[in-house]
Amino acid sequence: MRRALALALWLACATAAAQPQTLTPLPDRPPAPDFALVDAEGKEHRLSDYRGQVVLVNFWATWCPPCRREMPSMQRLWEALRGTDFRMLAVDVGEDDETVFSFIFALDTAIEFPMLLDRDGKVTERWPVIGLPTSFLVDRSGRLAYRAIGGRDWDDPALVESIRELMAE
Amino acid sequence: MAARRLLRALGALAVIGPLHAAADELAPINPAPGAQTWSWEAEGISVRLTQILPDQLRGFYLARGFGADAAERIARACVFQTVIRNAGAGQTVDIDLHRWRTLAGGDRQPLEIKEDWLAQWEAEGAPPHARLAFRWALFPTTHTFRTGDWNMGMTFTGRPPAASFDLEVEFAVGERIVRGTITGLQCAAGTARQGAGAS
Repeated sequence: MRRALALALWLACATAAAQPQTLTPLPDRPPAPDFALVDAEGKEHRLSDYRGQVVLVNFWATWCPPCRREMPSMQRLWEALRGTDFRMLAVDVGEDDETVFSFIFALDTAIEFPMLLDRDGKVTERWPVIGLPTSFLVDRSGRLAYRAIGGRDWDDPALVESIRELMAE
Repeated sequence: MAARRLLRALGALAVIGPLHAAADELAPINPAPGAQTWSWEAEGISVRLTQILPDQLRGFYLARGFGADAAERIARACVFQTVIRNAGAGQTVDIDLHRWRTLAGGDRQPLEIKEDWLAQWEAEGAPPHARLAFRWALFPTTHTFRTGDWNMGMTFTGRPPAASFDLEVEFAVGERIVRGTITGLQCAAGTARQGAGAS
């Protein structure tokens, strides 16, 4: 019985890992719209302050299932690239700090990267976001280099390699 | 003790759904018990539609600032959690939900798209934060999927509760148009909340 369960779990994980993880390069790399948003602790983050670093900007909401699902893999990516020029900003769309706090505390994974609040959705409107989640990789010059629509396994080796290549530019 | 651990592990599996669903990122997370799912796949495009039960819709939209009557209208709009993916079409896949149709007994109707609902909420003075949640929760009306892109959102069919219908879908794959019909869809059955009007 235990062996059967282990096999079933392995199959589930193996098939999940088989999903291709892709990033779409953005032609001409348009400039990333700057923003200044506070995080869940009230600290302001301005995107342009991260110029010279590669930044993953992720637009999400607590009620969005694929957003919730990709969050632990974002934390693993954050840990994998700790100590490099990589930064991550998760922008919650249209919710208050209490809602976001409740979500973070309910997660099994401790989230260490900044969770910013776009309470009125105005920052999100200025970005080419169609649905949630959508993520962008901003290059060292502050340009939109890649986009990912829908959730990703962010610690997938192919995605980590793409980010490392962007940092190496 | 080992048996208890095993039961707990099996319980966790039950929460995340059948194994196939657990392994498939297109699977809706925590579909309500009894909610049915329909799938369609062609030329590297996949579509999955899962019923959202009226009570789920009421709860979701009431919690985001809509009034009881507005939430009731949404609950009766036959809403599906819709997941579309460009899983390997090899080219960009474009959708325009204006072109999708529901079909029941010779009656062919367009989907109810988010822009029309948003205009209605604005005219009725729904709170901005409620409109914002509505806007992001619905599937985008037009969308371009590059390889590997996928999206999840609510689609409103406007069919009555428990109605059966087919759904005609259309995609532009590069320069080509791909059409298909998802047959035998059924709106979730639901009862009006106590005290709500039927309108």
